[in-house]
Amino acid sequence: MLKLLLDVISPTEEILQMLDDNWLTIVLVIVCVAVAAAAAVGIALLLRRRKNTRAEREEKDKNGRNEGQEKE
Amino acid sequence: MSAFYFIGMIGLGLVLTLVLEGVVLLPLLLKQNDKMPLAAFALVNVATNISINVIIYLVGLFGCFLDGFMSEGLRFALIVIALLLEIFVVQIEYCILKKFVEHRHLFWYVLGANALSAVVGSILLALLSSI
Repeated sequence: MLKLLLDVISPTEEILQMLDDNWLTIVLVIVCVAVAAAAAVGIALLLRRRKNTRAEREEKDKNGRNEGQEKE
Repeated sequence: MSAFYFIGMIGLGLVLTLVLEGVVLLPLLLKQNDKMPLAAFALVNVATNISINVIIYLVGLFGCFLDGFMSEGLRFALIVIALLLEIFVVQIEYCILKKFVEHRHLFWYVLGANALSAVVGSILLALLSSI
């Protein structure tokens, strides 16, 4: 059973040859995936910053309103 | 396809997308008096465009590897995959940009920008790759 599984998942000569021929492309694909992932992280950080900025603004507005009411 | 051809096509595709989509969306993005919408637009496009191109490239590569050549069926499958990915990208882009840009017709702007960039970008890339 294990041997059969290994036969199925073990790379054939053709696949090894393809990997050997296209190693630079594979590296570039990995770099591209890394760039895309970095951009996704950047979007997440932007969204978080926007959320924090909005929360701060709401807090300030609330404080300003409270102070105004106290003065009145 | 050589490695440098691959990276050139991905780079060119990204620049074309940013320029063409920028032409449509820039008026909305600049209206906000904030740099965050511009940054979000650039980052979303970098993430989605590179992902789409890499996925299409990998599907084509493995299809060619299995079939031995670029068959008609594989070409059709690549077009269908590209269309589905493009629809998915429009949704993602709209969901992210609506957090930064307040406009009633934002979805249609995003759809138009993506359609323009997909059609014009594909034609230009096909012309450039045939030279």
